[in-house]
Amino acid sequence: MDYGTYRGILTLVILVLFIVIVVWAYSRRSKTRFKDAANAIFEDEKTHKDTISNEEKGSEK
Amino acid sequence: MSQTVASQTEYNYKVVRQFTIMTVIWGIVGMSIGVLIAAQLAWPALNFDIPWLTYSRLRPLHTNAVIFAFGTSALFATSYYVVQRTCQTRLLSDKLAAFTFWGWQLVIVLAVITLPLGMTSTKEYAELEWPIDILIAIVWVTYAVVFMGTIAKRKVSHIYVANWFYAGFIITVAVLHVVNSMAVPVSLTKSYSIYAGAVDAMVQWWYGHNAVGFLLTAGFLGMMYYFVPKQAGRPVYSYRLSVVHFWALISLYIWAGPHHLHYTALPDWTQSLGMVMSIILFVPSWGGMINGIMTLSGAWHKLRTDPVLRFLVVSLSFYGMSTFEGPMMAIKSVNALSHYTDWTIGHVHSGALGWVAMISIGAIYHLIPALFSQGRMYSVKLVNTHFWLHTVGVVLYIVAMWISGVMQGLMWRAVNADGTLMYTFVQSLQASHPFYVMRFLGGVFIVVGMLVMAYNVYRTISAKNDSLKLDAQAQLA
Amino acid sequence: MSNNNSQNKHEIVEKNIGLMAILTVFAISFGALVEITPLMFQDDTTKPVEGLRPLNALEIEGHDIYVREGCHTCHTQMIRPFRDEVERYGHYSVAGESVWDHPFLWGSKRTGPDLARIGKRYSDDWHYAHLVDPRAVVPESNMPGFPWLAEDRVDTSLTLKKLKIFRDTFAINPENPAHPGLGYGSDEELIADVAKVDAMNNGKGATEMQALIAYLQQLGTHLK
Repeated sequence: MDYGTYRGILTLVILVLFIVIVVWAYSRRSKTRFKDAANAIFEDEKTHKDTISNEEKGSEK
Repeated sequence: MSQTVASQTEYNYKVVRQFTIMTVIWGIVGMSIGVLIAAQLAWPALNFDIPWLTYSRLRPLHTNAVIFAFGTSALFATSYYVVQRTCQTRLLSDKLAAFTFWGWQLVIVLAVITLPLGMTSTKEYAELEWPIDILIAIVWVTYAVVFMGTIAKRKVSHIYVANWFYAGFIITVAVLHVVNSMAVPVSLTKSYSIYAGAVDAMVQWWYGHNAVGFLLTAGFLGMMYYFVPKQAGRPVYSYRLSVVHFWALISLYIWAGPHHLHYTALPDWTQSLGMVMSIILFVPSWGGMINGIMTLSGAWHKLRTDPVLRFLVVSLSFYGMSTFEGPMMAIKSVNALSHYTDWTIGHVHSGALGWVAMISIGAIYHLIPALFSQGRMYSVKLVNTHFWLHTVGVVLYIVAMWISGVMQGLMWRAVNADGTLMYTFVQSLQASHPFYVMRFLGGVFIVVGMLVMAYNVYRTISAKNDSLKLDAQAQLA
Repeated sequence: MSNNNSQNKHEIVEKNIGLMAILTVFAISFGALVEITPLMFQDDTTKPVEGLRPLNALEIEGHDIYVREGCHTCHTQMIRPFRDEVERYGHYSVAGESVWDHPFLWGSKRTGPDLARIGKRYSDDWHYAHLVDPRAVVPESNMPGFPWLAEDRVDTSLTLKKLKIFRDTFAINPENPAHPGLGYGSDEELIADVAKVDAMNNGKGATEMQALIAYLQQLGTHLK
């Protein structure tokens, strides 16, 4: 098998993998999990203020 | 350190603050050198016949300063911030994190010293000599340990997508750096690449192309996937699109840079497939851009009042433009015209100043108040001033380079009816002169914008804690 | 791979940073291996063109000055196979001409013209005048001047070491099966070559300008 054919087959393999990922990402089963994940960045606002205490800032100056 | 907030998650903000401040400082340094060398191309007397002030020695310093000092400091700062916030845990090790900060600053200082002295490996964006390369590798591996170690000890189950992009960029840059920097040392300051000729060229552009694809794209997409939703106050438009975006980008990027294979003998069906792949890569790239911009759907009004969000969204527009322009320039017939001309320089800067710099600046304006106990930046008006200075500067820059680049390409290939060349090389240089002046002016706008930013950051940091409140009047009317 | 199956699998990837790291390395190595490794074994990228000779002691120092001053930031050494480029610069470049170049100096930007075949096109005196003050020769040029090259002497303390690296580490020697009979000679020959550089200008040694011009004057002169 020559180099060009070898490259072509690898390219085809990647194309197939890509389609598998798209099908998976857009399957219904993933929907709720992704919704939770997307909102994850706002979760730590409940436990952590966006600003830090004055004392901490003072101690590092 | 802070016993008062023991009930809250304790994050290491010290290293984030350090990298954030240095991003602003190195941004000013790197872009100022850019303005100087732009001026030297327009007015060569500015080289002053001084070796270390000569254009050809300073150009690598400019590219290293903006990519590795400004851009990479921004990536360090935001990745350390994002990984802690989204994993709800402190960095793996404060000591190792501090090592990455001081180690990286040392790398930059060494670059500032060695490049003007002419110590260079010649490989673009990898010019530093081998002892510095080893230092980079050590700092980078430490960075990977801190970042991945923090993810490993996270308190939430899912790894947020921004962290995927950051992790992908950190791992890939390590591999690229080690492979491309392989050299045989002659002395501490001189070495020869172990690869020769065409192989060296292929290794270099595998590195170069993917340094752009991973450091300047994947890393900053990580930034985008956190700061755009956060600043807009709503989750990313489509999380599933971001998943496809990630895997498509990291596995396909390598295949989308076929410019170095234009003149090799590949079978037709392979070339056809390769073309299909390029189109496929274009789709997730634009998918990512649309994903970021559409995050604002239903909140477009925020763009009118929030210049930080404006920075972030306009950066995405430049990302879309560059990822359209890039594949187009990889088409053989377009490349024949654009290659070696200022068009390439324009393309790089629409990516670097439009996408990379604007998303970083937006992220920093988001970070500074959060890191220094303030509700907002000292002056939202000045953020807006910076936005316009930067935008005008970028547009001046890339329009100048487009015109002079296309003109150079056309003048070089123009032939008379008898087959002789229509123009000498130096005529094309003369024709470029007005556009070199225009490019210089664009650069001045950008540096002035960065100085406005530095002033605003200084006033925010030095203001009394919690004295800057986010209220309606403070926003732009 | 069934859809259901892959779903569970990706969930594992999402939650395991180590596995994700390995998959990422796999994804990026793929293209690199396929694109780079074959080049190392192809004749046209590893075999020298006929007539190619390695750089001598003076030229290799000139090469290093070319690199130090950053000439490659504005000048390419790669003529593309287009009518106008061949007309302007000469025969297009072939891979076999740069098989001994560590590093490659093809460049990526032409702020100035290509230099792949600059050798023997201008006199040594022209190069001297041009490098000291480009605008004295080409008034419209925006090239920086490099007047210090005319004053500074070539430091030959490492020249022999450099030549030996090219001969031994990079295998540019007559024993290399890729180019039998071609390459650097014995230690004695290399030492004599370095001594010639030191003997120039009545024993004061070569100037950096002389070394750089010697390097420029051989560029692209091998392909017949």
